[in-house]
Amino acid sequence: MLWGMKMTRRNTEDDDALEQIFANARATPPAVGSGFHARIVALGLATQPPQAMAGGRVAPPLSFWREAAIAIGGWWGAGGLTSAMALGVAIGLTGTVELPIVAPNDGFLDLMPAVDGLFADSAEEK
Amino acid sequence: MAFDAEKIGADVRLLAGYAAGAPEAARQLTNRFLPLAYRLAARILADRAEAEDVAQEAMLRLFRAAPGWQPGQAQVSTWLYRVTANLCTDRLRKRRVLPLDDVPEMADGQRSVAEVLMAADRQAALERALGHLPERQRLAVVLRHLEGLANPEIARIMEIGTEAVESLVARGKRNLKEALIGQRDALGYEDD
Repeated sequence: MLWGMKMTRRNTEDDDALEQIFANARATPPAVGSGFHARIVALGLATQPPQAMAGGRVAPPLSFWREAAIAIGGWWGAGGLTSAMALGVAIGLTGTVELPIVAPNDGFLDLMPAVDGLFADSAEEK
Repeated sequence: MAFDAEKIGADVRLLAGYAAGAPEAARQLTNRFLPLAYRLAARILADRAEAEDVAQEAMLRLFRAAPGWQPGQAQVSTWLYRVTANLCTDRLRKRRVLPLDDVPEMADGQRSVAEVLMAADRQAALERALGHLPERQRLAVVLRHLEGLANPEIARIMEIGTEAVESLVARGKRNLKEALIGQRDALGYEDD
């Protein structure tokens, strides 16, 4: 009986002692360092979605076509690309048989006709 | 209870503000929740650098979760405790398991509980003693007695029943006492 009472008293004292240790630990919690805190704030800012517009609305995401136009240089770029595409389609449809029209004489395209004449004239003068 | 509801509502509004890109929201979220994540990680891992890594990862997950946060889901603090606890568990499992002989003594066997309490390094002794506990017991004891949470919240964090929490805490405390105090005969109690 006495042994049982002593054991109970020991348990109580142990519990009290442990509770004091816990209380001490609660009173001195591990503190966040200022540098670490600043890093997490920076991380939060880097992760944060774009700022809301006036009225609390968030800017709507760009449409696919708008993003595509920006990617190729804006609407001017898109216009130029469309013209080039249209020309390519036109050439494809008419075919290459029409190309000799560009060089109607003997089928060869004379890229520098004035120069040929210039040399010929110089030789005759000598 | 009203205060809790107000606090929970404030936390959710804070997340919503962050998701809407409100200035200062990142700082306010950090002020409010980083200490929680870091404190738990430091107490579980007993390693400052590892605790910072875990707290940073937990906060990053919170930032990313903010835009999709539903007001009806778990409390923000409960959610963050759970994420942090899981990250800590992962860390603990990756650590090398020390043979028991290599683990330093938790307390001088010749000292009484009162003397242990008077020792300047009792905080460190507690950390070492916590390190002896199995992961789940350690987490339950830290959440209950150091973070001061109620058993139902611990149950939600650990995703177990309240009775299981009670059991873990009781076993954890028992093991902790053994680890802190050493042999019962060396406590300094006199057998009268």
